[in-house]
Amino acid sequence: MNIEGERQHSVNEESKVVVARLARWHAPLDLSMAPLFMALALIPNVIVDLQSGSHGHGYLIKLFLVKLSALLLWLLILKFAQIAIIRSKTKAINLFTLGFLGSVIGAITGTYVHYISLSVGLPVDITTFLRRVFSTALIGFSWLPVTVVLSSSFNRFMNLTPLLESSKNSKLRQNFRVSGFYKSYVVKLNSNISSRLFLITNSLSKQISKLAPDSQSAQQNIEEIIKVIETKELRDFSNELEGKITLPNKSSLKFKVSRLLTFSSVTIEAIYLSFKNSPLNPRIFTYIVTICTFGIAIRRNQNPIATLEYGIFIGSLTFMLTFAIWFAWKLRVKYYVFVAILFTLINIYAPATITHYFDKRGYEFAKIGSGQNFTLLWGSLIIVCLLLGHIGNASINAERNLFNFRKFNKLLSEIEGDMIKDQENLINHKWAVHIHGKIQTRLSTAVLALRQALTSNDGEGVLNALGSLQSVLQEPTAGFTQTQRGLEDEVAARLMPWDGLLESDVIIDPLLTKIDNLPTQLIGEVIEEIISNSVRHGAASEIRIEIRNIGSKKLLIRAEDNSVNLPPSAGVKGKGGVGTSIFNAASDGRWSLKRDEKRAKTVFEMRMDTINTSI
Amino acid sequence: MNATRILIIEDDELTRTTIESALSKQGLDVLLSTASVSEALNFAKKHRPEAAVIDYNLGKGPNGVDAANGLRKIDPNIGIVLMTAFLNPTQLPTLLSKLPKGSHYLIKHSVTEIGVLVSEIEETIKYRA
Repeated sequence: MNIEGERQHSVNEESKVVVARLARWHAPLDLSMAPLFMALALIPNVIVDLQSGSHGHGYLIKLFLVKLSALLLWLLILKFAQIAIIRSKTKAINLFTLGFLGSVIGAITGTYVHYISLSVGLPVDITTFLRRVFSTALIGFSWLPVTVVLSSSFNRFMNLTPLLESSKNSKLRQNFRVSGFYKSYVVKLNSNISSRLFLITNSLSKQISKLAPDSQSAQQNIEEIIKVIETKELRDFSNELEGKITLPNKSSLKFKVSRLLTFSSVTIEAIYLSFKNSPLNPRIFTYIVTICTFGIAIRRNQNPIATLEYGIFIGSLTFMLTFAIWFAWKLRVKYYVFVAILFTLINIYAPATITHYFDKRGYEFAKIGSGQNFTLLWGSLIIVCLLLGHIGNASINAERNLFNFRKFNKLLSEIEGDMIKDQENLINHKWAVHIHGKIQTRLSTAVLALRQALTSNDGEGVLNALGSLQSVLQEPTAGFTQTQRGLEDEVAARLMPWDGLLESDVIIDPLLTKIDNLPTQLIGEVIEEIISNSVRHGAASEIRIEIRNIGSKKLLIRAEDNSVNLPPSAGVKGKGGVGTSIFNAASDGRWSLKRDEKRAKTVFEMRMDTINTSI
Repeated sequence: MNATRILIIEDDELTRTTIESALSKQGLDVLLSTASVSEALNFAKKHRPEAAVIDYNLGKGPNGVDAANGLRKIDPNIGIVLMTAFLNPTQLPTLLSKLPKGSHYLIKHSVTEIGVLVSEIEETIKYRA
């Protein structure tokens, strides 16, 4: 699955309505930043109002309340509009519709502000109806599209870290799992454990042989033999292996902070390099600068000729600067983004300053006391918008080039560390179970059998017990590895022992049985873990398991049971023990466990590769 | 006095036969000795043994605790003795907490004399209704 695909899955229901082709952007209908942007947009307006004369305390409160209520009304209408769009199942909204919607909402709130200001004795804009309509339309065409695009950009930036984690983690794990290093590491781990086991059991075998070269000596030395058998060495080894099974607690603050820092450093590097290496989108640049400044200019200036001149002036300047920024990028001028910021400031700041000093034909920006401060504030907001707009582009670039970033190696090593830990847990657990479940059991049985034989003076019984003991000590790894079975046989073998405890219903996709080299043993281990979780943690009495081929060399395991409750570690992939390691190792983290309260069911889903990469 | 009727669930054949023979020699009536939990459950439904000696680690599938809980669903009074070679102090409390009430727990290497196991079996069925 590609990154875009995963993003589509990750966005919430609201964002599924895809909006606009604004400068080739496919932005989700995201209004999360609307309150902030609207508040930011109001600040310059309020400052201008405050600077337009000296006012008392009451005036300030009135002004604040009117602006605040206008903002809330704005957001309320916006929310209703958003709900209506989603309910109407609109797949896409073009820029014109979005601009029209912005204008309508702007007109409603503008009218509200006009009449409410009149009723509380606040001054209102003195301008013609036509001018008001025109300026409302222009502002409308700027604020809503800009809000949608910037909200999307901002959230995209903020979500980059979890996005990277979810989209890259499984990819990295898959790549690492098939790597020579990983395979040789796992082989080495198994071989180290088996070598140590051989050393212990062979030593025991030799000691027993020494004490019991024949039947007579065996009977005479039986207490000595029992002492040898009761050695703690094997138990300690088994406990040592079990004790090594630890997982980092991924829900702990320490782990979260550490992983966040790693991901953040990757993200920052990715964004920084992408900023340097991505072109500033000229359409976004032109659109934001022109519409945001020109709309306000019409609203604020009383002189129609001056407004027209201002428009032509700022339009030409924007065009020239856009071309200059594009050219700077083409020439690979270092830090061209900062050049762009400087140009933007000039673009906004210069017209008001120039007209203030050289023209003086009624430009409100420059005429009002500290009007240049307003221009600077407004300009800063536009620069923030531009940067956020650019982050959207840079994020895409960052995701595409993630593997090339230097900091990425740290992230990679952390994920590889997780994988190695998962595999170590599994291997240690399997060996520990084999040692205490098979070998240690045989040793204990031998002690019992030897004492029984001794009590009944059964020489043959002693020899039989010793013979069986020696066979297990000389071949301690016998029975550790399992032979490969077909998928249906493997699943049946895993389910059968649970008869009487759990009623099961299994559906296996016939397509899967045709795939060569399917990791059947791994699938079996997953099924085993699912069932044991259902019985042990959920007290389930019935389960339905589906194993389906979902294409692209992947299969889906879906289990639904009538568990009473979820295991304590449900949904927390870092929590839990060996089961979590099995799921992680089999699926590279692509699993989930959820409770469907309506149907009183617990649903487990896992996606895993159909390629057998087991060692 | 009738011999105590017991059930043995142990996956290792040698261990199973050794325990079966030792308990029989002690006068207990071993009704069934099996490696399969489902077979034991089906058997328990029909024959109602008084106690069960169960190995914790039964290989693939349910473990001894699952078997013990399954048997208690069939007969709430059945005596349970769980045996294991497994002794991990960090995991022991979790294991014990999942055992049905009144069950007894034995580490295999502590059963050096069959009398130890017999007394545990008698202890579990002492208060049987």
